[in-house]
Amino acid sequence: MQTTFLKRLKSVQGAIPSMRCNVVPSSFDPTDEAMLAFPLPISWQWSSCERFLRERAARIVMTRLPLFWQLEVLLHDVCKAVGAPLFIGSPQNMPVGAAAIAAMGIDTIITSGEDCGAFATHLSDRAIPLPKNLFIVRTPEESWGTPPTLSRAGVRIHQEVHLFPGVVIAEQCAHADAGVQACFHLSDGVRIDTRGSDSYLTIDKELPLPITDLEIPFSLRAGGTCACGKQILEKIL
Amino acid sequence: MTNLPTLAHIVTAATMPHAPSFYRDRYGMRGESALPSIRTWEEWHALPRISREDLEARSPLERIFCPLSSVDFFSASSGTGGKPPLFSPRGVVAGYEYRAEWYAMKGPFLSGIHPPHRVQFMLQQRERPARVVTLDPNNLHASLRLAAAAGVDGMYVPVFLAAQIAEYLQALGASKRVQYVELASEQISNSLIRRLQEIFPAAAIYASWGMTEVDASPMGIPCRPLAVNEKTVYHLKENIHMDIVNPETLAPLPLKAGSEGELLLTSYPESAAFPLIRYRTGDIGRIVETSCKRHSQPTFTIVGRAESDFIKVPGGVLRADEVERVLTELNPALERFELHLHQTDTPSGVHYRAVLHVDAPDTELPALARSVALSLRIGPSFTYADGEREGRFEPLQCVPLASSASNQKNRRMITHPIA
Repeated sequence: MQTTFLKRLKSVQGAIPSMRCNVVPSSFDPTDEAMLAFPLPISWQWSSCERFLRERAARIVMTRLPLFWQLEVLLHDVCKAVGAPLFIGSPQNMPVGAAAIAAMGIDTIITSGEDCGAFATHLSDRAIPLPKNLFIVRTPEESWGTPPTLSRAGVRIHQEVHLFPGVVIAEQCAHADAGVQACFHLSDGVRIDTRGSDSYLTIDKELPLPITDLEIPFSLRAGGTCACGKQILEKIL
Repeated sequence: MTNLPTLAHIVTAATMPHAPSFYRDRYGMRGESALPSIRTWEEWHALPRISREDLEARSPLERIFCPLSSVDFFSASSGTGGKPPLFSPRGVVAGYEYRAEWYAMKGPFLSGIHPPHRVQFMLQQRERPARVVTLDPNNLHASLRLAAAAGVDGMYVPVFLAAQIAEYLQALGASKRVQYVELASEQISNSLIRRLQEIFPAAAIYASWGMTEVDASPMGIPCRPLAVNEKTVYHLKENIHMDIVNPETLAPLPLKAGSEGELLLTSYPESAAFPLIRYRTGDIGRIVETSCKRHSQPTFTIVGRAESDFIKVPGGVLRADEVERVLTELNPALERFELHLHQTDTPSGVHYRAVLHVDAPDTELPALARSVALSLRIGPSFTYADGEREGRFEPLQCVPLASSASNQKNRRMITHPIA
């Protein structure tokens, strides 16, 4: 993450208690000593998730995201809006997650890039079918490809990339044939500027700490036009 | 106490032909057979009780008395008897309104008893900014760093994590702004109260009594702040009815000061996903006062657990059948045992020590204790030995069964009060 941005984020930490905001971690890694609190407006919504749950007519949703990412409240708002009850699973407790799927017929899992493959294997080893909807939250740094173990008939996978938990910067296209090489588009309100081999991110949304011209640790470039008409986003390490 | 017509109405609604069959089956209603008559308290007391096993025997989807889309969330609690966890449909998002008496709700709130969105709802209802930080027990320090940065001034946390949370927030310089600390159920030691008072000098400390399978949990809400050497007393929340019964005969006991017995709950909030009727909580309660000074309402306290084959401990449940499985796998002759759970009050919270009294004349007991600890599951992927490593439990001990001090017939799982 760009040093200037982290300095700015660090400088606002003391003011956060007096802001009308919620917080999410600036790092997805709980052991990251440099992790800071990133302020998000109280009215912040996870609209891409709502869109997916609505399109897929989700019936019961299980989250397996780490609780310290602070996404439960946003996800519950989404579930309430689409009328799907929520079950809070723990990535550290696969047996309970598997039992929940078997007991309640959970059809939608919200999970992380780190958890999805291992949990799918856990289910497969116990002959529990993978639920029909998988929503995977990925970090900018990790691979954005679809794990081959998850590609099953009847299972719809949606992946998106978060800058910080809840701050979506890229989404997998629902129209393209994802295959192993998923096709991503920039999220609404997100811009990438490429200067030389460096890419800079700007989010045109009202944030307590605006994200403008944030240098990201890899290059993103437009890689042609998708079947849906949007530009395909290519990540170059 | 709820009036009889209200209770009769709850039973009628729960047994209507269009409702799920849970209560009709439990009450032995077949076809067009008449609804149970509830015109007298005797008839109410004669109505069959519901146990946790009754809930476990039915799929959570068969226990939903409202449209699925009206279910807010599903909770999970550790399974008993080797069964999977108990999943419970929950419809009530409200239920924390009682905090307004004690807590101004000005700052963000640390939610350690999930789901956190119920705190969001509480703050919205009070027209406060809905600022919630979710405690992650698996990433405690990361979530507490966020709590400190957000400036939390209130929290609802499990007893077994309370000391750790307090000490870490203190280390982060975030303890002085805390105004409200609510501890969830369990026995609370004097040393923990003292420690929390020391670390959170501006806070009053409260306790509530709840169960994950009960909609609108917590059912027992604070009457007054906790104080050293004073009983933890609760009021019963609105829309919850309580019966108290002799734990052995299950005969009803009068709701008067000093009555002590197993608590049965009837929970009927309007938005409940499942109406719980005469549910055996397994908790032994005592009526403390029929009218408290502050609220002129009855108060009660929890004094322990009714005889059961399981003991709740931090991180899960010690189960008699699991002890039996582990012992007989090690040696098929090891059938007779008693497990005693001792609790010791320490400045860092209660320490737990399991002592297994076992009939094993030719066995080296320290080696047996080690083997049992390694195999004894507390949760689906958590053993007693894991708890030892994490400092939750002291090393398990095995002693000859003859030295057992329980003197209680047919009891295999015995919890001793905090020493």
